[in-house]
Amino acid sequence: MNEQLPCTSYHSERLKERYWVYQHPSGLQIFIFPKKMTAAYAIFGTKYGSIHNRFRTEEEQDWTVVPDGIAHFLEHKLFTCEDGSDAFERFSDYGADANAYTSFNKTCYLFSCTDRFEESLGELLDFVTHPYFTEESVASEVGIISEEIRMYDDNPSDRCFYGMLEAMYAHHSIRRNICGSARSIARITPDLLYRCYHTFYRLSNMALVVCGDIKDDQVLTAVNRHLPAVARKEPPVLCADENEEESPRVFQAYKEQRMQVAKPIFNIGIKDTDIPKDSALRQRKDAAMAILDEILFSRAGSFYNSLLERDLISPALSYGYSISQTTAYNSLAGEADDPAAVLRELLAYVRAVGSNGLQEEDFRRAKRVMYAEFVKSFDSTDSIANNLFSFFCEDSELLSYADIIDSITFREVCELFETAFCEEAITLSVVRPLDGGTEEFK
Amino acid sequence: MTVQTFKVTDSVSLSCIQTDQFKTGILTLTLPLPHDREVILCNSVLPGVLRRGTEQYPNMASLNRRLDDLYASCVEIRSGRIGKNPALMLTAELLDDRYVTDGTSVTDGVIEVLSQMLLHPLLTPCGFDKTAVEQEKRFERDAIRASVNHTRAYAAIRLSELMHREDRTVLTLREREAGLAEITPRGLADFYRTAVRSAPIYAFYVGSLPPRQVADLLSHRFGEWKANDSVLLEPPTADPGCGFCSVSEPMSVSQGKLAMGFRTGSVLAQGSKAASVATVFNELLGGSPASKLFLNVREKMGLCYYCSSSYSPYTGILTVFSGIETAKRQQAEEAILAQLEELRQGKISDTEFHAARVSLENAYRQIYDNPADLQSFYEGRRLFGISDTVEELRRTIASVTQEEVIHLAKQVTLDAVFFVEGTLPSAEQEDESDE
Repeated sequence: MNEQLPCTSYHSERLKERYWVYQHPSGLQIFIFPKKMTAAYAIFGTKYGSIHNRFRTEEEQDWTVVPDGIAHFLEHKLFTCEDGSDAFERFSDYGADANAYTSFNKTCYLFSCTDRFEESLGELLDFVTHPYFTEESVASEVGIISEEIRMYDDNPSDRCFYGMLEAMYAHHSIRRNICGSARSIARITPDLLYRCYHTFYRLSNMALVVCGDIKDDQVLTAVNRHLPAVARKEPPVLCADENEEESPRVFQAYKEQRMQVAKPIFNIGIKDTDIPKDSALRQRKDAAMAILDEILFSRAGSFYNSLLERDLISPALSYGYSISQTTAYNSLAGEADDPAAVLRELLAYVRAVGSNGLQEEDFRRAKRVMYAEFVKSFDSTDSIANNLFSFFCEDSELLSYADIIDSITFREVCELFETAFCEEAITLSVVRPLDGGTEEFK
Repeated sequence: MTVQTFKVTDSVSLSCIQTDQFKTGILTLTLPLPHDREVILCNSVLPGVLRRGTEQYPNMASLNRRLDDLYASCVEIRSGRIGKNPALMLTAELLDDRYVTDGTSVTDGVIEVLSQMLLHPLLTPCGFDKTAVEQEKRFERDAIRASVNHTRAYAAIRLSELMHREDRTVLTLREREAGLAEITPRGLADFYRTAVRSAPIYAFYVGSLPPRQVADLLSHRFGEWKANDSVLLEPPTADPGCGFCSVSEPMSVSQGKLAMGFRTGSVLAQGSKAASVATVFNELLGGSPASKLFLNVREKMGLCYYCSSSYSPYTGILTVFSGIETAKRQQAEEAILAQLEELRQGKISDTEFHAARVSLENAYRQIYDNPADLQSFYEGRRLFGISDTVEELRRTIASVTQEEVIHLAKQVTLDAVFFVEGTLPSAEQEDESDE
């Protein structure tokens, strides 16, 4: 541990893991998670994703609205440096495997390496903090991103998932594709990219996460060398709280698309607008809902096995709960000849569980599953670093999640169940074969 | 990390890497099967039937409950291949016993579940349960048909079909679906009793338990397993192919998918450097963001979002995949072949060669960080009697010269091209034309 910077240490006896968070004078938070692995993994990222396209500073009256897909476009363009080189080339020279991704609420630049860590870290810090956009370089990226958009357009699972979000939300930006559209990316200019960059890529909005067999001083020396020693004074940025504009009801109860698929695929979405403002409460709700989903939908349970035995679904049925500061929803996704029948079965099942109650034995098993899955996520520098960054975006602490799972009570989950499946909050998104008939949806 | 191998019984052998580095262990059982069309058909349905229940856990729900009680242990059973040889493969991912909170022995529990699936499936004198077999056949049929859902994977399957069109044991999607009609509950039981029950079991474990303890657990649960005779594994061989062919298939998607299959003639063999040379060649061509395909076809020409290559040391086949605008197929194909030509002519900069080497060095060192990667690396080699360690392979890769790569590039032949011809405008274009 380096003692020259303010530092907080986190530790879990149960997981046998610990990590430190340093507060750098530039405003950057630095997470260092020691792990005896061959590969070290680093993420330099910002709390800025595709949904942050309406924002203003505290000093401004009017919202700035930018084209959909600009956060993702910015991620692509940041790799191009002022001297015309590409940051990938330097990572390749060091033998590091570099990449980047944009999600709804974050943008991450990352690398993994087994050698020359400091040089790769220096490159990561440098290229992300030195934007350079020109008309020509912006235009040249449009072709590549257009092909990326087409690729996702052709992916039925992706389209079905977005269909669910479009049906669930009336206004929220989450209903629009992370990559944007051919039309929206055509409106992106260097000026707009700089505007977004300077708004969201301030170091106080960012974090550096390092996981591997790395010493703190290796990281802090590189940070001191490549980043400023003082924080810039900038007015806080506000993003619209789009959850407040959403009704608890879904926008549409049913959404259908047609694509080249062999049989219909579906996403059932259950909208949740009851999102705690407090991050600790949000994390607790996340854990409790994950346990509830595990009780209700796991492959050990009666819902899944009953549908499968009656040929109502194909074997692959996925489910999960997602919660962030402005969105939350449950979802079930799979393949079925008659997706509407699956929804009817779900509603009947929820009513039956409502009458008969949840079983405490299932609750204990679900907690055990959640605990085991969480422990397993500490086996790679990649998943640890990405999870740490996700928890940073949610203002939450990673290691305490195991204790939160442990502390969730049966009563808490039963109470959550009472309000989790209101019919007006449920939507069904279906992708049907091009030549299949339309089932009547009731 | 060292691999220790021992005979558990005459029919079961075990290789172990003992390490306390991971919280998750892995245990795999590989059962090689005869190289035969009927075997491949039956083996496509049997895994689903075995996963539905056992004498001890009579249905899927009870089997899954048992696995959940074993700290969310995950057991996958599937038909696969070891090189060219068909195999039944079981993979268990399990929480290391050190993280168990109530004294449960997860490893013992998982081995018990695996033994139930292999030794005690729900079987009557008349065969497997008719309803179960028929449903698994429907699931398999649906999975075959669903290949069209993901055009990139579909293009890969179709390319492989073209490259193996004279190999009777590589079935096409159509043959696999048609062949399902031949499978009966009794026939599947015969396949289980003869081919599966007479196969040797090759176990591989990565985790914190001492190898002797794992061997004892396997011996306890699989002591009665008797392999009648050992199946001879066909070693990796580089097929010469049967002449170039190109197929284009229109599909209702917006992006074209170009799949090109090459034969390098280089496969894994004990004491041979050929596969390492081909690995470096692949890295230079399209194996990383520093490769010729990425830097030229994607970055300079902007033709695609992805254009990459991969190489199989078990077949010597190298494949290139790219998602492109359908109208630019010829341009993309020419651009890809031009990059291959660059390699043939020795146009490899020191920067490119260095980047390829260090990228592979990085990738191979990372094998130590993942139990599944360790298992995959060593198990494949062990079954073919190849004794290279990761360290030795890294040294061999580091010794590959530019001249060796150029020599190989000149031997590489284009064998087949499969193209998914996207017939739709993208949703975006449709959207715009509506306005």
